[in-house]
Amino acid sequence: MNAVNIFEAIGFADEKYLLHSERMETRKRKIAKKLSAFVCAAACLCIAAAGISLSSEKLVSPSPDRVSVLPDLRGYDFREARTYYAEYFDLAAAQREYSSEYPEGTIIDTFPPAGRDYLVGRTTVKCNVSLGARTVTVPDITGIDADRAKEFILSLGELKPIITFDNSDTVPEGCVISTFPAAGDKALYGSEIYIKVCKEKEVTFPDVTGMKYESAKIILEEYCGYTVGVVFENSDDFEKGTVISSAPAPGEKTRYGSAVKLTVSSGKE
Amino acid sequence: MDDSAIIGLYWDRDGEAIAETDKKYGAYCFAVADNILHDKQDSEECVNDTFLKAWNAMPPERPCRLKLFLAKITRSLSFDKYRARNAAKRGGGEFTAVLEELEECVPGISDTEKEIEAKELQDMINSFLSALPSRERDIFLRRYFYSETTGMIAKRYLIKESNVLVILSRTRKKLRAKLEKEGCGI
Repeated sequence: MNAVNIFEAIGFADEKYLLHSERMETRKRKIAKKLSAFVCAAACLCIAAAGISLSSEKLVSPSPDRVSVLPDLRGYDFREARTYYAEYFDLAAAQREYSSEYPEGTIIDTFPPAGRDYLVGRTTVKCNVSLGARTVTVPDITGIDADRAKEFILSLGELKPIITFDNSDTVPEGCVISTFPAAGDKALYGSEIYIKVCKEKEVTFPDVTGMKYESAKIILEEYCGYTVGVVFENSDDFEKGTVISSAPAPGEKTRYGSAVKLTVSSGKE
Repeated sequence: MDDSAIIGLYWDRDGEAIAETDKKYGAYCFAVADNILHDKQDSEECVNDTFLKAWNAMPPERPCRLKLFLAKITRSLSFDKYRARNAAKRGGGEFTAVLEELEECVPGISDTEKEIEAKELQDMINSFLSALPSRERDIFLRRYFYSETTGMIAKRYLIKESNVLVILSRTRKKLRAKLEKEGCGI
């Protein structure tokens, strides 16, 4: 014979003895209940005296009976609920997930669910605790070609890109001016990101007639984004190396970055 | 739902029987299993096995007290699982302490290896329990039937943990004396 035999034999203990051990506890609990009721009443008086108003959203104390009904903890702060119900059951965060409905740290649901009986002081209630709304950091896509920027956002699978157009003096046509939310900001996972793209620019062609070709080329390429072509012809009126005419003509509307042609004097014939 | 109605569902082979049992006694059975296994997953498995065993047992069984009927099944299944889990390793945990404490009750005579019949031992345990004062018996059962910690027992009966330890120690000595007197294992 060993301890295992004795343990197994105790398993066949008469039910009336087992039942008695339960009943005795209940009787004792009643005393504890009276004491706790007294303490609670005193605490309530203190709270009332301090002028603290208890909102209807406060956690509800379970009955101190041996078996009690699990309260609905959804929406309550996990830490607060764990402390509050420590005497009644062990609250464990079994799972954490993102939720836009429940703020971070609050209980989404429990297992066993609300309304189920539980054994006071001997039950572990598993909680699904909210991580809050899932957010992502908006990447910096400023200056990138709109199509590539959109593809990049889609490839991340976190945000929905929506293209809008605007003018810009600093960003090339078809490239991203800015985003909303801005680069580096937090955005809700799955939300829309507005990508502002520089629309086609119309540039008024400047008058470079009579300017030195080199100067005119710099102005047209550097500041206006044109691709400059050149032809030479003799002129009696213009010094060698100066611009005789241009195509398009000065004052004409052109697209930013389009090709233009300058006719430059090669001197007198 | 009261116990007789739940037992009625078992006898009617109604699947709701298990759902209702789980609803009413799921947490209780889990606590009984967890006191032995200290493992949530294993304990949950034992609770599920308990319901299955109850389903197979009723009918023909019609327990007078469903709660204790389930507790005994859970305890037995949990102990089996505990032994299977600890076949290769031994030591640690509250339940190991429970078994080690019970070792004190085994008569220490070297040539007393002979096993007695399990029924005889059960009868003797019940006889021993009936002779104990109610408080000692309750504490003994909370410890060795439900495998509760001494701290939990102290809290349950609103006494000091040191009192629980003393009472358990005395009760074990009484049980040992009883076993020796009755010649169990000799």
